Amino acid sequence: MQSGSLPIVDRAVFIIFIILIAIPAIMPLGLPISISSNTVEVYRQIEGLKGGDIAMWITDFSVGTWGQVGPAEVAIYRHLFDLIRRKGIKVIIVTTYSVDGALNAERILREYIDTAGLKYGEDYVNLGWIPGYETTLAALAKDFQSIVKTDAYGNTIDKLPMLRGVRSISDIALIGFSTSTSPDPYPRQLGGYNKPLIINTLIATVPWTLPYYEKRLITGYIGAESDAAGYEKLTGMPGEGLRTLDAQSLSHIYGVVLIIVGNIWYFTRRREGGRR
Amino acid sequence: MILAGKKFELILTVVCIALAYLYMKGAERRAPRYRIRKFPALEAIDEAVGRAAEMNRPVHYSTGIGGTDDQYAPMTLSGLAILGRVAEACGRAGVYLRYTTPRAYLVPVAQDILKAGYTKSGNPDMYSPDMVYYVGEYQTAFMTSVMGYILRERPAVNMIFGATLWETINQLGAGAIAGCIQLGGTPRLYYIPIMICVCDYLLIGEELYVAGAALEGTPGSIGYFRGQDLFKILLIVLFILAAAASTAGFNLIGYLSTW
Amino acid sequence: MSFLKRIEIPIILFAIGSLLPLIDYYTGNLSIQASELLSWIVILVTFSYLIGVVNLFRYHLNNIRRGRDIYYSILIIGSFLFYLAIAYLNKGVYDWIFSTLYTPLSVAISSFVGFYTYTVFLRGARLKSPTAVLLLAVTIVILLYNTPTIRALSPQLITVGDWIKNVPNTGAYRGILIGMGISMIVLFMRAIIGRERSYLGGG
Repeated sequence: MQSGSLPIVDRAVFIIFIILIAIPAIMPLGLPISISSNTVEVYRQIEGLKGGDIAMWITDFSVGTWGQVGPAEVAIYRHLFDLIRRKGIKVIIVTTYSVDGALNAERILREYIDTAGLKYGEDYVNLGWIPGYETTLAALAKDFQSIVKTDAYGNTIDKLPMLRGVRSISDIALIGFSTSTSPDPYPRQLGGYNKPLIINTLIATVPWTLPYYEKRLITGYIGAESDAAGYEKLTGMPGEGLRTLDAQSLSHIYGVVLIIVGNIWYFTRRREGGRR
Repeated sequence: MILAGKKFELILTVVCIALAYLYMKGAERRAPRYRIRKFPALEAIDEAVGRAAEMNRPVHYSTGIGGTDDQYAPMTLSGLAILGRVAEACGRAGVYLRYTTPRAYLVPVAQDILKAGYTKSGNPDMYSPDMVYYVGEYQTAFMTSVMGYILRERPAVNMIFGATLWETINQLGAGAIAGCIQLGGTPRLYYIPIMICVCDYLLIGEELYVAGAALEGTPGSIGYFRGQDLFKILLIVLFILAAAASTAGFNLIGYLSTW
Repeated sequence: MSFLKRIEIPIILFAIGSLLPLIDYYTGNLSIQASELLSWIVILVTFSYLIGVVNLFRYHLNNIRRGRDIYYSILIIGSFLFYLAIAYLNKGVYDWIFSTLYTPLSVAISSFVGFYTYTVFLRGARLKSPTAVLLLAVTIVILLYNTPTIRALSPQLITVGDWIKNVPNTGAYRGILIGMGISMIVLFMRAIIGRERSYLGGG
């Protein structure tokens, strides 16, 4: 590539891309959607929680990946809070990787979840960011009370009735986590306890998750917007996933077109004896 | 003594790897037999730094988003080993080296490495603690900072060796626009296709680990990789046997784990 | 002071810190000490951020003093201090900045990846060899497999995509994970016996 500004071809590629993803924002196309089997599996595991069960959701994705992981995270939060009302489950929200996750969790609770009628500390609790990443995960699994002293708002554990009986992972019925980096620490520290372990992650991280999924260390996965849209359809609570689905479909098709066009361009120039 | 129900085969694995490593280290020390082939990416460091000296532009280096407190530790440590080599080359050529990191605890480590490199090359006055720049723990901040630095300062060389996640694409893209010579290397193979397109020289996969040993050059360090290779060969043999046995209807691994 | 600078001390600390949780995991002994160590690590990690903050401030204050990139440095230090103060003084503004400024900016920067990827599709994805043909064929299949609309219209694609995902892809990633695991174990051993010293700095 030449140093300095972008070549004209690249600029055209980017402008066409922007136009393609802007069209569905202005004029929704209503393209068909299929729900993947992994999305259905995650839905069933969460829906299968019973009254009194405690679900722990670890929100560890970074802000920059909100577009990919955010819609599914919102859909899952909505599902969990709906289950609090319908079945009386309890939800723990925590972050271990970086403060981004805690800010994302707070944002979802503030902007997307209706907590009217729910009692903080009895129905759900937000523990905020406990630094340490894998060390924190190990401690949460083995000795919950040693690592959790206060919640995100400074309340001590004795003011949070739902946490009094939680000693280790054996007291938790379902664990889920969202990540925009490697999924390895989670099944390493939280897998093998015979508990459902669900991941919400980037589409690029899904292949990385599959070896653990095959061994049932991770029991369900959701990858990016298409699965988020499917999850929203299953829960009946539409959101950003369904809204951005058309744009995602168009952008993927555009990628395929670029590969084909690029190769036609390459072979045409080669036949003409041109150099790149 | 070992807790009932714990995976004893894990201990066995660790012990086997340890024995393989110690055996090969000792064997290499006694009678060095193996050499590590030359890596174009390492050979190109001097050439690239020389170009930076001619153009009077700095060199930029990063070890990616990984740290030494997570599973990326081997990759980051290999990257830091190469950083030492680059610091020496920059000291000899009188070139400013900038190291950007998103891990706070790597700041003093990198400062030590750079200082040692510049001192070793006979140019200790050129070193400054500001050569190591901490950008905060976030990938986005790291990505943006490096992109901004590359597009503003136009370093002659951009190197990224270590645990790279998707920030690599942006960094290398910015380097391509700025016209830098780009050297990279990561064992994380997910972004290798894009790195191949924009890097001039590349260490692919485990070449990064071996490059660290190649820089050290001692028989013990070569034995390190021979030990790993020995264990990997053992694993491959086990996989083939287990696959054949499983196809024949016999659960070999299940049988072995009952011993 | 010279005793504390001896290289054996961090190696011994590394060895103790590494072996304690291992012993706890496999034997159940030293469980209290291992739990205590995990808590200490969390505290250490938190304090390590201070090192970074000091480095950041020193770098940018130097820039301001020398008049180099002065506006960027003032902006960084100013926004750091402002956001830190706002977190304690007015949570509403803090949340607003996060939702309205920081999130869209982060997402915008992250979306560069998409643009560069499309450039690579156009310029880098070439049918130069049989393996390249295979690679691009799989790339196209997986791109379409991850397109919700195409999946809805073509169930056969789901079968093919599932096979690619579950068989060759999972096998390859498993190999990568095993390789990484072996490297970690050997690195751990080298560090315990003091052969691996790159994390200790230069010299």
